[in-house]
Amino acid sequence: MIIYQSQNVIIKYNGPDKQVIQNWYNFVSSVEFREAIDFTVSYVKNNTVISILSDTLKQMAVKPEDSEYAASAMTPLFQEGLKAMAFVIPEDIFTKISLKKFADLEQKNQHKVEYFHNVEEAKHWVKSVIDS
Amino acid sequence: METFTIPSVFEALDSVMKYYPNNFNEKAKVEIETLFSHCLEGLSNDSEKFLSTLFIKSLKRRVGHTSINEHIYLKKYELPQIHLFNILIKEFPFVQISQQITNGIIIDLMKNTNEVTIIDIGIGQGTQIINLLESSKGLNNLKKVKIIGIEPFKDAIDKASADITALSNHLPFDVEFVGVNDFIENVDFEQFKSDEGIIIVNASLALHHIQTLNQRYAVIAKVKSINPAAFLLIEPNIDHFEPNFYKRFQNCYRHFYNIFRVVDQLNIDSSDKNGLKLFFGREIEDIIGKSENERYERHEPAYMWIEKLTVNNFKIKRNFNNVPSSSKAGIKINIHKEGYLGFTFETETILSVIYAA
Repeated sequence: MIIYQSQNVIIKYNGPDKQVIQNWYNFVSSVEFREAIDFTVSYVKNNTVISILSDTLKQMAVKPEDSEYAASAMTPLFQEGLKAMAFVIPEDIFTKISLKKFADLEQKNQHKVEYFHNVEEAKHWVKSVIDS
Repeated sequence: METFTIPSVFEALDSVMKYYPNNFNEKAKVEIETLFSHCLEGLSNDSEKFLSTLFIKSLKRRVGHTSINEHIYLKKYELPQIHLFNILIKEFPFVQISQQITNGIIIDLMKNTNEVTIIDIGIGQGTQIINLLESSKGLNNLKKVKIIGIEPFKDAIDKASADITALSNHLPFDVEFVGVNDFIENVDFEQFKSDEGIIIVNASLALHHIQTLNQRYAVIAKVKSINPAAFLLIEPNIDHFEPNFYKRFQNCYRHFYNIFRVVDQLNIDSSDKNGLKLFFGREIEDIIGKSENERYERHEPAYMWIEKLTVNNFKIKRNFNNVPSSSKAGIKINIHKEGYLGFTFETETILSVIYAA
């Protein structure tokens, strides 16, 4: 079910899998981006969520400060019981650079976070982490 | 799981250049900020990132307000002017070796004459001419050298005059220095005609400052009218005359990327390398950042200069006798089929020396 929607972001919740799915499209302004991140953190805090799938395939450039903001939200998410987070790697070259910055920042935390070229591979990996 | 690779810095820079001149919307600004932030990581040791930062800096006037403040990051690479000048003269092979080659040609011509007039277009502070005069001390036949230094910057020509005059007291031949404080386009060459001795015209990294093609043809015609024994040109071998911004950007990137790779090979420390790269930022700013009618660095490839010379009845000479067999920093120096001497790094010929008569 859709739990959040803005101009270029849709966030859904898959109850049976206890999974939040973020879909990002086009150019997301800084305000819209941070609202979606804040909403996700709040939703994970108040509901049973064990994984997040963030599909950035069609997302356009993200400000460097917003990448840092997203990275800073990862520890609170995992502290709330998140077990895995998978990203679908964007096509856009600038979003790739932003996601790489995020990945470099996030790497230090040793959370279960991985990056894939399509949704199926991402879902498969999340399932393998949850089942293990 | 996938290997997470990101595109090259050039690919990203090439993409933002397509917004030029009037399409720098919010998305474009975020892309530029993203690329800038990426370039800052490892800037000191990555020529591509350093170069791209200079290109982003050059674009700023067009882009409008962003969070980018490159000045605070680049300022630490600035070198004192005198130190930078020393590196350029002593370590940077293009200026040093190309001027040694042209000076060698001038000295060969002076061996057979008592009197010579050397017209130096864009004499600057006279560095090349001073080296030439120093190297000419052993020419016993030489009685008089007249130097005509043409230079639009008065401070530079005053220094050239003072240094050449001071040196002339220690030379075994007479030296007369005439300073012409003007742009070459405005100079009447009829006044330089002489029945005594030979005339040599030297233009080291100068002619590309002439703004229009018509003026370039006209200047070369004026030079030909005084029938010089040699007309020597040193010019970057790249098309920055190109009016199309995107093509000019691609030419500019290729040219300076290869120059930066040469800088990386020099036997100087990394702060000097980065200082030298920062110095080239001024040229990039002129080529990329300024509007068409403000641009000053309008380089043309060697074959275009040769075309202008041959149209004006100059013959291109190939007898470069004093070319070093090996050079610094992986640069190969070879005569190209069009007749110019090219300074080539890998596949890119960065600088040309042209000898016409």
